[in-house]
Amino acid sequence: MSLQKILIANRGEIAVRVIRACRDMGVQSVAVYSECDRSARHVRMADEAYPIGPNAPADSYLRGDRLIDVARNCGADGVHPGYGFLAENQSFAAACRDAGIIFIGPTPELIEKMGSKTAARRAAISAGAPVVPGTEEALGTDVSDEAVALLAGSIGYPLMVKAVAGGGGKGMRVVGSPAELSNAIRAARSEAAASFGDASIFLERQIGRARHIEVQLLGDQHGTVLPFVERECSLQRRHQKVIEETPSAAVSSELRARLTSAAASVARGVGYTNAGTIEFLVDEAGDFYFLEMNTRLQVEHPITEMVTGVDLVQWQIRIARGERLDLDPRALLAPRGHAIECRIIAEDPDAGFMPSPGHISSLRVPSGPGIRDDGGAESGAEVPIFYDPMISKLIAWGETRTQAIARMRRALLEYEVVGIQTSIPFFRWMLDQPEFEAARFDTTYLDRLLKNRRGEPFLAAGEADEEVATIAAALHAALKGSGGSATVQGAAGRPSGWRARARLDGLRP
Amino acid sequence: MICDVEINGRIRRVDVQRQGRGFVVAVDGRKQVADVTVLNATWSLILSDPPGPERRRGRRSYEIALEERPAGELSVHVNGLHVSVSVAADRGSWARRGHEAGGGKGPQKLLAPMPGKVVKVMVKPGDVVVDRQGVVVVEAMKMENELRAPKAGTVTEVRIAEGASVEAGTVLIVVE
Repeated sequence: MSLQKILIANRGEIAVRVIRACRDMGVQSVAVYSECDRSARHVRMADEAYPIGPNAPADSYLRGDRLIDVARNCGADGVHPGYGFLAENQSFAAACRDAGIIFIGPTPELIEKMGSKTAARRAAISAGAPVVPGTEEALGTDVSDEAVALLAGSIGYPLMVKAVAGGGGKGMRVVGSPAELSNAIRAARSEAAASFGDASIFLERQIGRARHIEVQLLGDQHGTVLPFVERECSLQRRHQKVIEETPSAAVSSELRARLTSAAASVARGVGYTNAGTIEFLVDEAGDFYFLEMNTRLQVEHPITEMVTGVDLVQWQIRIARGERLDLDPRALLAPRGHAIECRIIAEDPDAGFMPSPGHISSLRVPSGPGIRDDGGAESGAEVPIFYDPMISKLIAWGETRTQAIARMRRALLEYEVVGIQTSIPFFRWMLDQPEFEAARFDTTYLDRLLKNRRGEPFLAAGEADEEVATIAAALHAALKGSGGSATVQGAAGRPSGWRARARLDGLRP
Repeated sequence: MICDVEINGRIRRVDVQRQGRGFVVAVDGRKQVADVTVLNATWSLILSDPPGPERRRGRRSYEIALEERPAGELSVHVNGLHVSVSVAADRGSWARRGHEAGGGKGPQKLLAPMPGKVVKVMVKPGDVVVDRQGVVVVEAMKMENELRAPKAGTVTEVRIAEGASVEAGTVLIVVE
């Protein structure tokens, strides 16, 4: 059987996630690492580990040639790309195939086709899926602003100007009226050229008060494509998902049937294989529109695993081996309970969500009923400045949405990260918002909510907390004064528990 | 030992005395019994009221972690909540710290919170800024981050230029 040894072309929590799937299947795992990741968790967990270059992604995790060399030399016959880095790079997928290595994902042709927003849109239209009214062809720099304005008039305002090669909110502008159009075209083109090397744009009508709902799919190499229960990803900050949950409180079983069959039709229409996700906008009336397809494993895949019991990463590997998808299609659309994910990011929510890389002097991860933490960091480790600052994904499962939220609140209280700031205080605040509890939100909700804040901290210490902090600080000062200290410091300077205890005992008035 | 502890501009006088295996801590004269143990990087702190007619509350259990910050500040984590604290052994030393809460007197420095590259400097010496006004943009981790004025006042120094690489803790500007 093929795929007895797999190289994981990634780092952080997703590399750890894939290594776990490999171990569950009795498959050998191979980690790769940049200089600063030498002692990272994924390196220590893997069966084998190889250096691939300096810290900058372009010199290491994006060096497809080196990854293929490592795979060849160590005898790995497959590469799992995770998400990000080379996961949606058709040249890398093609280079793997040329080298006789299995790329655990769709074919390079499918990555290319579904990665182009306009080609994916055409695929959706031919599969009969509704799309957001807009232009079907890419508008290159040879198309004049006047010609774009004519097209815009036929689509109607407000509309979005988007980069064909775009993603992550870059190269995207909202246009409220014809007067704003030419500025938006210029801005979108220049951002798109700078970020993606392609200034082509397209136009789409803006759907008001829409939710972002996506459908996970698996497709095998024998023509079977199965959709999963939807994920609700409307809670976004600057077009980045912040909290995901499944199922969506806004999706009835009738709408679920329509959404998932539309998603499966698009994927079947292009002969899709392996894991992928189709994103839709759903408006207040329950009408939905195809947005785009992600041809990879998603960050938020664990919530789907929690409510269906299916290990998506194991299935990626089994599909890549040529196995048949023999899951019960009905079970995938009948979620058991409810799951929520919070992305724990090394950032300071009270400083405008600024990244907060650095040394994690202490880390305690929550556990207990219904809690799963997919992490890549560790106590004593560094969060490097070179990569995505997400350190873990915290997932809560409950029999109901209410129970899942309660468990998430409890887990966020248990989560202790010392040394760097994280998004945890923001999530503790977010979960208490009445609109979140009532599941009343759309994709613009969080940005509007944050805009109305006046810089007050997400978690303010009350009188009682301040008193406890005062006592702790005074005890610390007293210990320091007696030559002791119980503060958290760098690895070298950290006092052992025994020493600190001895100092506590040694303190005399 | 007696010290002053400041949180959010409010100063409390604290007296710490050893008692048996624990401590008696008086905050502004109000006494509590503190039982502390250390496990790895965190403390277990149990507070109780001293025996007496007013005793009502139970033994309250907290998990504490302390981090030392620049400028003599401590970040105290109380059950996962972060509280910024300054400690001075006597009142006389407050004036020397130059780091007071609120509008504050004296010059205040804006420090780079992380290593990165300065992409934009939006003020020059002599400019008048309001509290939390955006003054410098630093790029780190592929994101541009706007850093804000530490207080309202006049910019007296700009110590970095656009394009400069900075380490965490580098002084960027000074506002007086």
